[in-house]
Amino acid sequence: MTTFAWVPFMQPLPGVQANWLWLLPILIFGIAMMYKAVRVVDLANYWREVGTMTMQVLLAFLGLATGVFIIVQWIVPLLPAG
Amino acid sequence: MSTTPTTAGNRTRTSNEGGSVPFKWVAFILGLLLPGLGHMSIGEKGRGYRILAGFLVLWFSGLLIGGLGSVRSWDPPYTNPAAGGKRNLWFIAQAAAGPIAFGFAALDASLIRGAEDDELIEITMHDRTIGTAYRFTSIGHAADFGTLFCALAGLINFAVALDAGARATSDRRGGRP
Repeated sequence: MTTFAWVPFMQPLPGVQANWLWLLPILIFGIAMMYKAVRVVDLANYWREVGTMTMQVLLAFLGLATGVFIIVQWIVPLLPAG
Repeated sequence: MSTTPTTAGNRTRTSNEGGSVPFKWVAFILGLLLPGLGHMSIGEKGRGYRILAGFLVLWFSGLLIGGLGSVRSWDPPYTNPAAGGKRNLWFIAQAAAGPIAFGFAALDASLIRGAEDDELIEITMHDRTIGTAYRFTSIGHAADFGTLFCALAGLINFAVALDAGARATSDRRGGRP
């Protein structure tokens, strides 16, 4: 019998520990799918709205990450020690 | 936003059109039984199918990432109570997905808690005794994200079911004109 190295659903997805950041777009996409299914006015625009919301949230995360990076890497080292 | 006045013991909601709409408990319960079913029951089939699709993306992504242990209604023996470790609290959020959540939790309990000896590995417990755990127990980010995906799917489904109950049949809400 052929066995595979990874059994989906029984074993966790390999490689997640090192590459967990890639899960974020999938998470946001799923949330946007459920949210926009309720909120969108015209269902003809559904997928466009889902894509827009996904990109908006990802860009917000990117902006926050950039802001925190600047504070931690550049501004905090300028503060006087002690 | 809508208001929720109470009149003569019946909870009613003011729709965007201005009329009061009684809360539809049947749609709410159906929405909890199967994501999207509440909206389908009030004639919003397109919305219902899209809700179900979104739910399935979140739910099965979570199970794929963290394995069956992502939906767990029991505390594994290696959980450290002294550190506040109560993994099964996440199941409260996941339970809002309805019978699907309870079905997968039962599957997890059956296949992982009841795993054969050759599927177990020895681990050091929090009290330094030797215990066992399922060989493929997810840890770290895989466990976190798997649990989070399924918990969010359940939480959003609860909000969606509430929307099904409160929505006027012709109510088309949206943030943009």
